Amino acid sequence: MPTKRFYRLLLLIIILWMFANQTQVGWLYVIVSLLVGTVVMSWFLNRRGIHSISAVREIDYRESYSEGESLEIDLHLDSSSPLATQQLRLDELCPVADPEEEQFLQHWYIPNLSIERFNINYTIELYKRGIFEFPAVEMTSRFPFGIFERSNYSENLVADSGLSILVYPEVRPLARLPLLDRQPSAQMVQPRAGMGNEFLSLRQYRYGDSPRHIHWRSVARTGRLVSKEFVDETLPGMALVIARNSVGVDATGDQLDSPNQLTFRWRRPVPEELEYGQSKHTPFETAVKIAASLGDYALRRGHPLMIVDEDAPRGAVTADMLLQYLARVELKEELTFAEQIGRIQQTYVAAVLSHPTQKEIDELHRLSQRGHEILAVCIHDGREKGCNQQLYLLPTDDERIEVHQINIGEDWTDIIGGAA
Amino acid sequence: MTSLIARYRERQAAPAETSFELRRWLFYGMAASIVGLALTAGITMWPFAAVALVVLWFGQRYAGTHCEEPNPKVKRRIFVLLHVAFVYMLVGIGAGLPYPQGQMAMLGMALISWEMINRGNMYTGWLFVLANLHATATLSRGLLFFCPLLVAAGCFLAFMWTVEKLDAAEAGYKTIAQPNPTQTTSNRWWLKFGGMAFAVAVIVFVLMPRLTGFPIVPPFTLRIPMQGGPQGQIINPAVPLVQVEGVSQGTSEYYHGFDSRLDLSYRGGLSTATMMYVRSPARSYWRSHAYDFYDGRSWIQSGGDAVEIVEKPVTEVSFRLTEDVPLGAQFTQTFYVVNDLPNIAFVGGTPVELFIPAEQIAIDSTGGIRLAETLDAGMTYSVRSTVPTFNRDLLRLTGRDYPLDIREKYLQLPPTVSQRTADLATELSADHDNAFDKVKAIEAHLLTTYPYDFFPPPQKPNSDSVDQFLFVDQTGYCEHYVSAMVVMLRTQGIPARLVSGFGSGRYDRINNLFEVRALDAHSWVEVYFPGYGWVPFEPTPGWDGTPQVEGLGRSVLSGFAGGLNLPAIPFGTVASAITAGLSLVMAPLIIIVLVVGLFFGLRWIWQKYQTYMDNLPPAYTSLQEDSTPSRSQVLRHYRRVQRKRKAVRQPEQTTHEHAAEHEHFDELADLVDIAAYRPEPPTAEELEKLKN
Repeated sequence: MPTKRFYRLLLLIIILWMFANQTQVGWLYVIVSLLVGTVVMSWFLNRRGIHSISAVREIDYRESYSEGESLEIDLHLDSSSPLATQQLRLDELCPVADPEEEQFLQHWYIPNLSIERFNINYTIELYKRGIFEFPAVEMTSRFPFGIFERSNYSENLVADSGLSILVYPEVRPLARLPLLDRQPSAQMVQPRAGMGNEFLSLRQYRYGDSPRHIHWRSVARTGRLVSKEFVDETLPGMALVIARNSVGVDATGDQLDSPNQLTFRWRRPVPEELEYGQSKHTPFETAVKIAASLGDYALRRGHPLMIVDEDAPRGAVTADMLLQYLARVELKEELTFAEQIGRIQQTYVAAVLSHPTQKEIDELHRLSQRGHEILAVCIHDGREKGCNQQLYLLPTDDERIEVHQINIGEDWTDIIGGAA
Repeated sequence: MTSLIARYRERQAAPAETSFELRRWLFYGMAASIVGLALTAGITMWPFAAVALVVLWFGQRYAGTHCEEPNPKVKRRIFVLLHVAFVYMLVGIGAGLPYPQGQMAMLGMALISWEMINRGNMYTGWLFVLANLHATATLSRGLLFFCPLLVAAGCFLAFMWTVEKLDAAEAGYKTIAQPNPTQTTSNRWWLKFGGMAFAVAVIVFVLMPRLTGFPIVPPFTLRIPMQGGPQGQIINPAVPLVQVEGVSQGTSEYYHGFDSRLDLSYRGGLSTATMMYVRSPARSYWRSHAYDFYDGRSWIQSGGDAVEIVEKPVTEVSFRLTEDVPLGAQFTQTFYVVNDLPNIAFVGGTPVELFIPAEQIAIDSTGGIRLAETLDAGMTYSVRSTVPTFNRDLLRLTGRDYPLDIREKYLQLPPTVSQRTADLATELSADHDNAFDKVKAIEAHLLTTYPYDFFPPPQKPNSDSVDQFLFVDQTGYCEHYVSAMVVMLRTQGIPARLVSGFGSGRYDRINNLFEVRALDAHSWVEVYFPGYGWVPFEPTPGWDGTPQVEGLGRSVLSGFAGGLNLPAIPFGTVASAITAGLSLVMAPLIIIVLVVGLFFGLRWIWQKYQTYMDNLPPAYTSLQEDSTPSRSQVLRHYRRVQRKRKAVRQPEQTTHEHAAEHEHFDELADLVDIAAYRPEPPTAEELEKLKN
């Protein structure tokens, strides 16, 4: 891609050539020839040089990544030719880093690639939950004199270009949760993994498990004893629901201060699924964290946990299933809160409302009147104008419904049940 | 225009360039161009080059350290110094100093370096380097120019390399230090790049099409025009050899063909001194004039000193030599005189336009161009010519209907011409029925029969020179061959004449110059063909080249495209029209520019004066409305004393506070208070104190 400098040089060459014709000064032809030689070789070296560099991104592999953990990323640059480009510009977009931090989008300039392999290493803190795909490393070269510019996005330059990672939301272990703590819990060891008949999951065989519940296919596959686990119907289940309806939600406050800055600095189109520019300090993100912590508490207490959402796994979920769901869940415009909670059968209901409305409170009120014990966590975005004012009336005469109101930025563990 | 001004202001407002690395490369490039110019122009340029280098060094240093807060005083001083340098150049041109324009270019570039505040200025600096290199290329006569050119080019590339590095840093890129820094890879890379780029440049140089040019002439010449009117007499500044009994074995720059009489009994060689360089896209003989009258021992112009005076119109920048420009390809030659030459303008082809700093020229009866003065060393002039094309078959078809004036002048023969000369001509041409073949037969005979000798035996008394050459000595130099051919053709009734001038000279492909030496002085034959005019022929053996104009084929593609038959650059005509138009409007334009400049200059001075007055301490500005002379006299005197003693009163000071700090102000402070605040103006007695 010719730069402005190329066109200026071209103009100079043409003028000098015409001037040489006019004046018949032989050396002007020599100067023109030297300039043309420089331009031609710049084009050749620019093209050749960038193709001689390959980049590989290596990420510390784990089975799962959680928000707030640190992650080490290595970039390896290999030059395969003595004519490999110098003055290399490298643009690295790390989607799992904090968009406000420098490490989210880094620009490096390598003036001289005189060794065969060049390593760049950096560590980031996983910013927020979600599924993230690393884009290819963008390598740009205006080498040697800024006459031509060439970027390379081909797949062979970045071995791990297809790598995507799933980051689980942050889980804050709660010390107590009145909703569940009010009920007696089973203290004795059950003779079988769960007293109910509904299959929950597979787990490692423990002493005392019935041989009839050994899952022989898994034993054959893994070589270890694996036992089926069933829902423990002696404990009442808890339904977890996150209000996902985004109608009427003003999400402008969820954006970073300067969201366009990213597209300005990053010349490639930003993949839509990456949600770049979205902050984690939003009501919905807080709701996800709270839901994860509530679910974690219920599972630790041995309560069967059901997620009330059409996109969630059916039936009781394990901790891993819960986090996988919460890592992906997003606001959904066509889903109303009434539709979400209409199918709840469990005794206990934990509802997290990221943008609470009177209508949602009323729905919960109706649910409690049907005999459900309800914990409602209402999140308020203190950044929005007027949002610190309560926009709904809480049911005062309903003992079955417990409402916690949380402002973003507050330590909600104490409000809900205290940190473990 | 508005956008241009906006862009200019934007450029001026660009951030200061603080990188000394960039300045270093620019300094090296500028220094290379200065040294190159000095190397090419010679020893006289070295003192100026030394001064320019010192000024350049300090200039770049100053610009680098003060780029963020440049001193406006320095700007003003540079402005003044640039104009001083320009005036010096004008004086130098008038005084005939060597290369005053080159000196101006060097000093100008060095002075401008003080003003290189931002990167845009530095790019302008490279344009100055290019302009200097162009000046050097114009003066270059050898391959030495390649050294400064390569150095400047290398510095330019290093400059661009550094710019790239700085651009990355400015764009927010963080430089990652290399763990084991080494220059080896970088040096190897530069070597490879240099080698490959040079190879490509050579290929481009060979393939690059080269068109014929049109001289770029400024609308007014910077050289003082030749004084006086041209004269018919030819003045040859070279000193002839002293001959003993007509014999000499020495050499000199004197060619006896550049004179009013060409004496065939003259003997003497020519030196290898370079007489001039010719820049031309075509190879040609450089013609001076012709002789028509032969008296048996010498040639003269029968018209004597009669010439036709041609004046250059005020509105023109060149002499139009003919109204009816012949059809065909045109080419332009530029002559750089190295050694003093006669007052003759040498031309190639059929001249149609002459660019020379003169008000008048004269044209003799044979088409030779005479000047008012001899061509002194350092003189440059250009000629635009058409390429005469002759078709052998068509020439064969021409008849013998010669005009009367041609027959009268160019069939003349003296009684000394021997019968055997005529018989030989008849014998040689007997087999041919047309003039062209007869000419070629006689030319071929001379080319193949007689060996060339600079020093043939002396001319015998009362002998015919042609007869002695053909039948006695049977050896001679070019004038003998040409005389023999002209005489033999005239015996056959074919009009012919002897032409003198220079051969093409040695062609230097790199400089694109013909080096014409003294020994390239030559003569050849012109034969008249009805309907075609004078056609040149070459009867002298061993002579390199042909009198016919031919393209150089300087590149592969120029030969492929037909050499000189390439279309003329279209803006040649446009340039001509522009220069003519500029000449017309130049005088009133200069007056307008001067008047407008004067107006704005005075306005600027007035504004400065107003600003100065406004900034005076308040006590005096309040008195401006009171124009009492005595008050003004006191206040003026007070200001003058302050300036003289370098003790300026601060605005917040009263006159007595100021006087307390500085000596000799006590009485004056009293007077100033009187002038400033007393209702009655100062009396004569009080004013008398000022004188004390």
